[in-house]
Amino acid sequence: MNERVLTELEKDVLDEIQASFPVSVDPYGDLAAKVGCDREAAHRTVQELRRDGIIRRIGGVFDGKTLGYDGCLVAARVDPAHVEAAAARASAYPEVTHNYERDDEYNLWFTVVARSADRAEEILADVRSCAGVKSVCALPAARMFKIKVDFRFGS
Amino acid sequence: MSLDAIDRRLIRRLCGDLGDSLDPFADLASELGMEEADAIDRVNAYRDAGILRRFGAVLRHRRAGFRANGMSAWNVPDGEVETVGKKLAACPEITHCYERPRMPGWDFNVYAMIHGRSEEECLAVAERMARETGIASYRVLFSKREFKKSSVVYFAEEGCGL
Repeated sequence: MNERVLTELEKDVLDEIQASFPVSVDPYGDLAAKVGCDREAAHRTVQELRRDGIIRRIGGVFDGKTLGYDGCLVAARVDPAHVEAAAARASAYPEVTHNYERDDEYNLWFTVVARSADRAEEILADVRSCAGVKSVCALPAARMFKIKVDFRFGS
Repeated sequence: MSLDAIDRRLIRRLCGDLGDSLDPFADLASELGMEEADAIDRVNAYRDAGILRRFGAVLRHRRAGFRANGMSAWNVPDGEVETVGKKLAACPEITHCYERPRMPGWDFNVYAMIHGRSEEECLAVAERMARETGIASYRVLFSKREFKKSSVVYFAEEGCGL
């Protein structure tokens, strides 16, 4: 994917709105005041960043656990010839949000966000039953030290 | 905080995108058949209750130049996990940091996602953190293939209506 060069205003806007997009009756007015431009420029800048694919979405990032969801990282050892098929089996579930092949003995890593531990286990059991899958290990977080996705662009 | 059906619908909607509107909360409220002030109040309540970690822009980081992400995994003696976890968390290039169980043939119990403009940059961050934490046993796994990357949608199964 090509990298898009960012203007100074775009960098300031991105640094501001990752942490917090104003939740108000005039969010672009509020944003404009923070980054030092006018309301229309703030709005235009955000729309262009979305149009150019830099902003995936503006919305809420919720804590699944507090909403009653069971979230977990899963690591699997899969015969390389069967990785793609096993991955597809996992990805078919909406509860599987991220799914990657990585270069190690444990070569398939995916995240599951399920309504219950039973549902999560159902998904893991299904992946475990795929041809070439040697093991599937649930790795729930015992302790969380950080969760903060924030890419700094700033000048 | 107890959530009613309106909250679940609002939360589900907020897992998507606010969209292009110049008055996004007015439009969103109208879409959901609620008052704008009510929607705004509920979002603030979710934040105060710790249900909503962040309300903001989610980026496609590759498009923005952060091409590499490495999953680093560290073998940390149990008594040092707290100290090491905090040090890793303080690193700006690390976005997620968790303690997780060990696995057969995999002695690593602390995971930290490192983002950078290149794989070399990610590896340099890991080396720096190894020096800072004194943990020599670690690995950095880059993704070979990305099979799926989606935003989680809570309460999606509840359907469109109330």
